Amino acid sequence: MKVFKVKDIQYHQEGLSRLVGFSIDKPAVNQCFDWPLIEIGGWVVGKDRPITEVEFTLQVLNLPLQVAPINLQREDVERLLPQVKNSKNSGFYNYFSAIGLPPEFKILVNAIDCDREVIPMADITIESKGDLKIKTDDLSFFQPILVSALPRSGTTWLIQLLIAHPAIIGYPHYPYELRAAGYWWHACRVLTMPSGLTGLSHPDLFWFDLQRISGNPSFSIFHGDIIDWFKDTYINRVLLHYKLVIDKFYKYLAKTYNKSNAIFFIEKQSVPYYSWLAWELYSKTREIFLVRDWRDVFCSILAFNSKRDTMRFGRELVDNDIAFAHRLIQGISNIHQQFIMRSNCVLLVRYEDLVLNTSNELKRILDYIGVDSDSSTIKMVMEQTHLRDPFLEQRRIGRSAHESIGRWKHDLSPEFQEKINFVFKDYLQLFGYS
Amino acid sequence: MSRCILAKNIQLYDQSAQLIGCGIDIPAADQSFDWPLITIAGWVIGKDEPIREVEVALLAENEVLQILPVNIPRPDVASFLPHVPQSEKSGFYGYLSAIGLPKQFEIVISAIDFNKTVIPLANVVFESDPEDYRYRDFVRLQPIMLNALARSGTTWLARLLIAHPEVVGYPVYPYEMRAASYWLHACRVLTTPSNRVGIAHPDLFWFDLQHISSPPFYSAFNEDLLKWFNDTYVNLIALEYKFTIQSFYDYIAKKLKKKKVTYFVEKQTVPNRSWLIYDLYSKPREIFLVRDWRDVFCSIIAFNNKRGVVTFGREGMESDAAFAYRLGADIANLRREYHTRADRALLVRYEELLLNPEHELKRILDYIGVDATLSTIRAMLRQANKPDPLLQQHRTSRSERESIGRWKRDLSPELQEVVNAVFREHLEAFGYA
Repeated sequence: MKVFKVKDIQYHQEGLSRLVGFSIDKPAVNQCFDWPLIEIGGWVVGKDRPITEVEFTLQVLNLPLQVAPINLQREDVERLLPQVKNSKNSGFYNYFSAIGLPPEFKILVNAIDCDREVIPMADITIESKGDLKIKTDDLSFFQPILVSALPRSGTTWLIQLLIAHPAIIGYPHYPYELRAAGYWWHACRVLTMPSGLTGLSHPDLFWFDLQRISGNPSFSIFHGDIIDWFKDTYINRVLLHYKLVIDKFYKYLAKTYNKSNAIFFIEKQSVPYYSWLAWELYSKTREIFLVRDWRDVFCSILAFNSKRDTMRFGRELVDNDIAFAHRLIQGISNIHQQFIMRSNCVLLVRYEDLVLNTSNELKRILDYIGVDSDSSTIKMVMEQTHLRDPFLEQRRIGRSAHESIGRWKHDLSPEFQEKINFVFKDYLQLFGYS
Repeated sequence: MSRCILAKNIQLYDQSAQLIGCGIDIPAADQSFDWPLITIAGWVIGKDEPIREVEVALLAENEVLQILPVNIPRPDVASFLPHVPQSEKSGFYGYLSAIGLPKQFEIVISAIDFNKTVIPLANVVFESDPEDYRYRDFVRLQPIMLNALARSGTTWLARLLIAHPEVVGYPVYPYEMRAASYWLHACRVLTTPSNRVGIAHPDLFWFDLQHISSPPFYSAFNEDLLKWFNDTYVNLIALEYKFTIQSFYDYIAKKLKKKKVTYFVEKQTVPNRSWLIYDLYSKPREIFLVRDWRDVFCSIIAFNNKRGVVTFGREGMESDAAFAYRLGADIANLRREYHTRADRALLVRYEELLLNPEHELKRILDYIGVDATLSTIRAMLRQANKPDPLLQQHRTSRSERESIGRWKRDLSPELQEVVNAVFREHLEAFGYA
């Protein structure tokens, strides 16, 4: 059985300039929780502006995972701060679900004031041990292959190659980016989250949005008498249901596209952090980290944007190309971090090796996946992939795959090359590029 | 034969003051669609402000069902209006799901500009074939939905029904757990085709860990997958949520040591959402609980005073008289919903339930189709009448009998005149003189 242990809590003293005071009463260091719920509770009082809620944010993605309204009575705090107006109802308490989180993760506990200003209170580091029961109950017919990569790293081509294999099904249309399982896994995360008791997870408010839903309002700290059903039955139901939906979906694709021998489905994963859930849910998950000389990735993105006359892939968020290179580093750093955390079970593939030595590299990939990798299959896969896809042609920026290797030397001025070499230097070395 | 939805009538608005032009290509009058999807397509160009999106709302409830971005290339419009820059991408195209909508319903299609100005383009009346049986049953537990305004006696009725051996509900005051209602709502949201906007976009759904929208690939951009979504996915979701609801209420029943439950009961605050239970279940029951609206009005005000908080819509009003008008709108809504389902729902008057409980409970239990013997009814009343301190807090009059006609004592003659005038038509409609 999986359990979570609180490894460390770091308090942010700088928040005290905007707070009268705060405390995290729960969890304590070394406190353990059974999968999947972790409790956070305490109190907080704002100095100039009232605090309306506390947000539990997943540090690595900087996304709020859960909220807890500030409205619980704290007579002890009122006694401690008798002159302070908001001290009586300054308490907060809620659970969050750790489904799909890695073996170690950090939660930022932030106070949110009435102007939506974020005031850091504490960082909580939590580690997990043990396996999830649901993986052993794996009733899925199809197992996932996830391709984690930055855009313009060759994922489209790799997926095109792999879905030509008889044992692998994927959405067979350009740009091969149907994230059906990705969406349903995400639904698993959202729908198994206990209620934040605000907005659409409030029992009186969920009705009023026909476009979005949040966690079930009845799955909350106010209904301790039924929490066991949610923990033991509901969460398992949700996870198993969406695995079934994914299975049915890929069965339909396999039937539609005459792939009766398919046993794996493949999807691109643009947020590699989310792969943890697939590793939790499936017994034979496969994950490929596809990397490419980051300087070529950088050039390919700029060229793709120029060709389409658009600004995408994050270039639209910064003022100039060098700032974009620095922005790209964040994505590369995430890829690296995730790769290191799962390096014992994932496969690293270099785009350049795939281009220059396709059959060898394909054999290595298929052996990792655990499907037929004999030379006739590889030949057939390569032949099928070489049947030109007009959409893929549109996507291609270099004249040929070979020419796309080292393109940064042609595309960039010597001065810019120097700058880019400096920016990417560490991450090039980490992935074996000189 | 598959279920069809027919566009019966289309009424277009003249918006030439605000628009360069617009066209509704689909639906056309008399066009029919295979259930559950209705196609909405056309083009629209704003005069002073560009149009950002097209909104499809249920006319009666003013409830937004779908939002479609205006960004589809329309070369035909561009050649027709060559000097208008927005004409090239003036198209909209997408689907609306009819799951959970009434047999006959009217939508309003409106353009929304960048200032959020709403410009109605057309009203369309649809009529669908009788309810589908595809999603029906496979589950044992059937729903009883209680529709009422706040302070109409739903807490008492829910408490009574939960005391029946064949009915289960969350047994804790104020009996307002809406677990099934949430899952039924989830069923609607998750089976709505994607508009590919915000977290319904295939690249953006990841970035919200607290909300989820419809599947991004259930959209007009993935026509090759539509059949699977319509035939398989919608069924999978509907069945899963029905089983989840059953599993939840079986758990509650087990805790309550109730071994032969066949119904679960929940209060429903948005009565038009009940349509979904008629799509999903074979024996849904729906009770509309009404009360002299003047007493409802007094009870709300007394309850607010007792708790020292202002809720139930009174908080948004400047005076009690203004609140009466607001309540009048809610009553009209409840009344409309009752009339659309009067053939299958049961009307219960609070006063009759209090004054003649055995008779009224028999009528209710007969309607539900569960044991309605006198011994069972008396056991229910004994159980419901057991002292409950929380229920005591809920009360705002000394006794149930005193709660009937309280408006004559609680209100000033002036306010009596106001509520009599505001509620007159609704009082008559529900049999109150």
